[in-house]
Amino acid sequence: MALDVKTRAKRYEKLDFLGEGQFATVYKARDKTNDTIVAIKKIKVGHRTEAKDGINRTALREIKLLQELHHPNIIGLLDAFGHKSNISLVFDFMETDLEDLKPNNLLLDGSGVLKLADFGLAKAFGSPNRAYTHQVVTRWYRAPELLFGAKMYGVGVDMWAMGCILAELLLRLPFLAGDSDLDQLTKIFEALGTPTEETWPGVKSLPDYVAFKLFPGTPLEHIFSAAGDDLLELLLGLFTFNPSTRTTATQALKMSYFSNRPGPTPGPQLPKPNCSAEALKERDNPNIGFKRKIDGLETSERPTHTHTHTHTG
Amino acid sequence: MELLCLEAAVRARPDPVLLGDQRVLQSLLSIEERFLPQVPYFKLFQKELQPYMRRMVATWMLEVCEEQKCEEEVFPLAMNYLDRFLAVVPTQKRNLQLLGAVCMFLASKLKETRPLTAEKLCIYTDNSISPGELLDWELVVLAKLKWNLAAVTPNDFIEHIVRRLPLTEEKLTLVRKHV
Repeated sequence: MALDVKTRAKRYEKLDFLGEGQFATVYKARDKTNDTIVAIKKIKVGHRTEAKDGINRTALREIKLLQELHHPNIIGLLDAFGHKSNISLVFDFMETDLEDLKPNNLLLDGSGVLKLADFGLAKAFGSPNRAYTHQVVTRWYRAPELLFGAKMYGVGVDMWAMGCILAELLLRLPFLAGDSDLDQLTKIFEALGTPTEETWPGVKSLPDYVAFKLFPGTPLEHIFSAAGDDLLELLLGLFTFNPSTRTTATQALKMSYFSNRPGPTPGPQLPKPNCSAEALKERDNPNIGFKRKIDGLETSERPTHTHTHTHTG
Repeated sequence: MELLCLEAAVRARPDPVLLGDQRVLQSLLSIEERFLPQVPYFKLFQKELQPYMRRMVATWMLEVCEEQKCEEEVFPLAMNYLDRFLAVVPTQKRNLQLLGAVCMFLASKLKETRPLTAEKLCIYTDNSISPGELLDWELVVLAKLKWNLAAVTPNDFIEHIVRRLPLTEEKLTLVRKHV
C-alpha cells in the first residue's frame, strides 16, 4: 500500500529548482497526467525529534485550510503527497518567483492575477520550543496589539499587515523590519509616534504593555515622498494604533485612492519576470516588436525586476 | 528584556458571529455529507472485519482519548477517519488497532495544542505496533483520505444547536455537559 505514495511522487517530473527558503524547497515540475506545469514545495523535515512524530501537524492544518479555501486570489493547492516524514505540496505554477518564502507572499499568475500563498506555513514550521519570535518572518507585519500580547484581536491585525505590505511596495524595502519584538515596537513608534492612552485607549492594559520613549513620529509624507494624498490617507488609516478605529477592508475600498485615476493596470498587461516592459509593448504592437528585434539585442539582455505593484507602478 | 509573542493557553471564546449566522449551520450541514463514509463497508468489501471488531477498536480509542484527556473532538474525528479509510481499503484484522492508533494520531495533530506522540500511542497498544509502522501508515491513511482531515463531526453542531434552545445560561451549561 505504501507503494501508492511512490506512484504519486512519480506523477511529477522535476524540471527545475526554483528556490529554497527556511522551511521548504520549491521545484518547478510537470504533472505527467495532464501535462501542466506546477510548483512543488517540499517541506523540510525538522530535527530528528520532530521527524519522530511523523507528518508536521501544522502542515496538515495548512493543507486543510488550502483545501477549504477556493478563491481567485488564493493560490490553489492541487495535490499533496508524502514520503517518510516529508510532505510535498503541489501548487499552481506562478509566473513570479516562489523564491522568497516569506509569509504574506504575494504571487502573480500568468494573467497577472494576484494570489496569496504561504499563509500559515512560516509560523507553522517554527518549532514551538525554539524562540519563534527570532524567526523574522511574520514579525514585520505584526500589529502593535499583538506585540503587546493582546489575546482578543480581530481583523485589524490583517489591515495593519496590509499597511506594511503597501508601504513595502512603495519603499521596495520592508517598512518596519524589527529584529526582535521590542525592536519591532521601537521601529513602529519611531515611524508613527508612540501611542498614548489618548490615541489608543486601553493600550496600557494590554498584557505585555511596556512604556516606551515618546517618539513624535515622522509624517508619512516624508517617509513616502512619492505617494499622493489619497494613498497617504489610506496608509494613515491602516496604521491607526487603536484597532477598533483602524480602517477596515470595506472602509479602505471606499477610499478615494481606489477610485482616483490612474486606475490599476489590468492583470494581463502587468510586466512579468524575465519579460521587459519593451517586450510587453511589443506584444501589444507587433510592428514595434519587429523593429526592436532588428534594432539590437540590448533590450532582451536588460535585467528586469518585477514588483507586484498594481496601483503604485 | 525580550517580548515574546507566544500563544498562551487561552481558550477561545465562542464566536457570536459564527454561532449567530444561519449560513454557518447550513454550510456545516452540506459539508458534513462529503465526509460521511458512502458505503456499508462491512457488507460490501471488508472480508475479515466484523462490526464487533470496530466496536472493540472504538472502545479502546475512546479509552485512550479519555485517559490522555484529549480534546472532545479528537475521538469522533478519529472515528470519522477510521470509517472513511475502511470504506475504501480492505483491511486485515491484525492491522485494525494500528489503523485506530493512526487515526487518533492524525485527529490529535489537527485538534490539540499538544498532540499525542507516536511513542505514547505505541505504548497504549502494549507495543504491538511500532512507531515506524505508525508513521508508515500515517502516510497511507493520509493518501487514502486525500489529505482531507477537516471532517465535520457531530461535535461541531452542539454549540449551534444548544444556542438555539430557549434555555437559560445555567441550563445551557448543564445541557452541554450531557451531550
